[in-house]
Amino acid sequence: MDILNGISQGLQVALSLEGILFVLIGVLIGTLIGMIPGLGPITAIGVMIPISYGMDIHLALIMMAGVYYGAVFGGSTSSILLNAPGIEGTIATSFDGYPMAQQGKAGKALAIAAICSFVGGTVGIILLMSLAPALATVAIAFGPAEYFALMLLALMAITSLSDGSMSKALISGVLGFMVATVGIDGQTGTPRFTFGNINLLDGIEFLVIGLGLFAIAEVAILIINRNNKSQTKLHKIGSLRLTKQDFKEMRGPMSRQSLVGFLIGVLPGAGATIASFIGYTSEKKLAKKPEEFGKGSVAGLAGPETANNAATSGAFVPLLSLGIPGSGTTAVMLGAFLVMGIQPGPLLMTEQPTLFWAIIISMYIGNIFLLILNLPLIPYISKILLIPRPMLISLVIFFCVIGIYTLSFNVFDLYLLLFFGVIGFLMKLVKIPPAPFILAFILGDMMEQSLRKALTISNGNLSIFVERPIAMSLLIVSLLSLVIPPLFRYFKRKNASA
Amino acid sequence: MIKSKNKLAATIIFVISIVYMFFAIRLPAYDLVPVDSDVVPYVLGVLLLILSIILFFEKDPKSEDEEGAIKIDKSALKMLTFIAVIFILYAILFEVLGFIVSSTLFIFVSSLALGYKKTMVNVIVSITTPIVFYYIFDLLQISLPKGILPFL
Repeated sequence: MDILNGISQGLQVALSLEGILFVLIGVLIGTLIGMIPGLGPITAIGVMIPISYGMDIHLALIMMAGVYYGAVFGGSTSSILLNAPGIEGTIATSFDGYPMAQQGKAGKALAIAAICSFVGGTVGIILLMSLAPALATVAIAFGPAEYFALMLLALMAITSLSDGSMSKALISGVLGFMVATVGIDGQTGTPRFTFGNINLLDGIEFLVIGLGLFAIAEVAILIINRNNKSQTKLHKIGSLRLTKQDFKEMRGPMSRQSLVGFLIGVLPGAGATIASFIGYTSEKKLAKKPEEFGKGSVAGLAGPETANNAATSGAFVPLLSLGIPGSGTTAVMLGAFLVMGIQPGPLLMTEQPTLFWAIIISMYIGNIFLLILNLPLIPYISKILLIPRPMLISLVIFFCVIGIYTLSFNVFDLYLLLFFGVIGFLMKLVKIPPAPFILAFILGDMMEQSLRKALTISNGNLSIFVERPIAMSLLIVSLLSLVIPPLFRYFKRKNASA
Repeated sequence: MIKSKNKLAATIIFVISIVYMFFAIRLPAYDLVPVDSDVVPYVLGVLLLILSIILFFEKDPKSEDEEGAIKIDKSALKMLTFIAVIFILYAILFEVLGFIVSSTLFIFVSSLALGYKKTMVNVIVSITTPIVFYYIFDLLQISLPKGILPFL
């Protein structure tokens, strides 16, 4: 009953005139921001948070769902048209999408991307609807010890799966956690690391970190590369029409990768990026004509595009059912939910079922509108890629400033934005990944509180983590995810040299 | 060069962990709680210290590093500093001159500095964009600083 009630309410809001308008706004802005190389869902969500303030919560939700899907699709668009992936999750899209555009079939590539995104996203949401409630029922029994272990697992997973040096990923996570300790301590009321500055007493806004590390740091890269002429040539889009043969070639990858992508998305730490690469390589292995891959193969485009969108939906499973994000993007999404006054977690489904289902329905609607509203507009939206870089850079900074200022109405946060922008840029220079930082920052406070609550319950005895079976197994898995990848690499190297 | 970049980063991170722990030691203590507010900072400080040492002695995979490395020359560094400075000015003047005036100045100057040649277009964009956003937010009942413009 509650489920039907929630679904019907979600549909009612989404299909109202206002609902459609805001989904359209969300999808358009998401696509626009996602297209700009380097800027992805994190920036898009961040910039849109202030707009959602005074709004009806259901409207705000469907707009955000539109922003999220729009940003991912925008990333695919610039992958196809420019060979410059807007976001990490769409790098694999450029392998076959860009060759297609070079052959004058950019419109076809975009249509394939949109349809596969839709299918991947939709299958993902249906699986989400069945998996999230089940997981939430289990999670209701979780105490602080389990939550601490779970969050630790999410952090360990994201560090062990990030490419490059693992110690750098861990450093990024510890730094993010450190920044989270700034402000008044929730249990003793002690101000920590505030250096007597009253602006720091409440801690640092998550959006300052998100936009600083991701948007502003990326702007710095855009400034350095602003005269790079190779990225300003845009291919003609051409017809969006697909043939029966295209659909036939898409069917296999779509059905396989929507499942695989979803499962990868559910895993903490693994997100759209990993899903899309696995989608690409596995389709290449399964293909009858693997030599076509990289030269504009339909399956080579359909695989990663389906997978990354299915993973995007899959990532919502831990976020909605446990309240714990498993990636940088869902961490920012959690921040957005909290700003709207929604606390995701196992209690959300039992205590506010209408809201829980409204979130899911809004994602579904966002996905549909992406296909029917966004695709025909793509030739016009892609004009943003023609905006001269100097103007684009100035406007991106301007939007970040609006986003931050309207969150706190405090100029001090603008200085912090610049500060974290510089930090993010320096991290880029030495290749320290920013995703563990933002995840640790958002989880940090919750982790510390649950750790201390658990130890308060046990009177300071660490054995609470060993005596509770779920907590212990989660801790063991986090430990393994830290130890196994280096061991694996070690043996691989040994084998290679032998 | 590449080797020293990692070592430099490791050294800076080492210093950060020491400074962080120094401030963690100075946190006041409470007797009544089993886990005080300085415990987690200690753990984090020690972890970062260990990780910085590991990073310092880590061998970097060369081929990968050279490929994606970001190259900054002197003029790029100058430009970044300049944009940072006008960003700070923007923040200082944001509430003094108001949202519209300060944003107009920022967009115009930064686009010009970054090499945008069409001055007329620049003037139009930098004036209209902040005005449009001012009224969009006004519609959403969020008021941005009015500043010196009397007619808003």
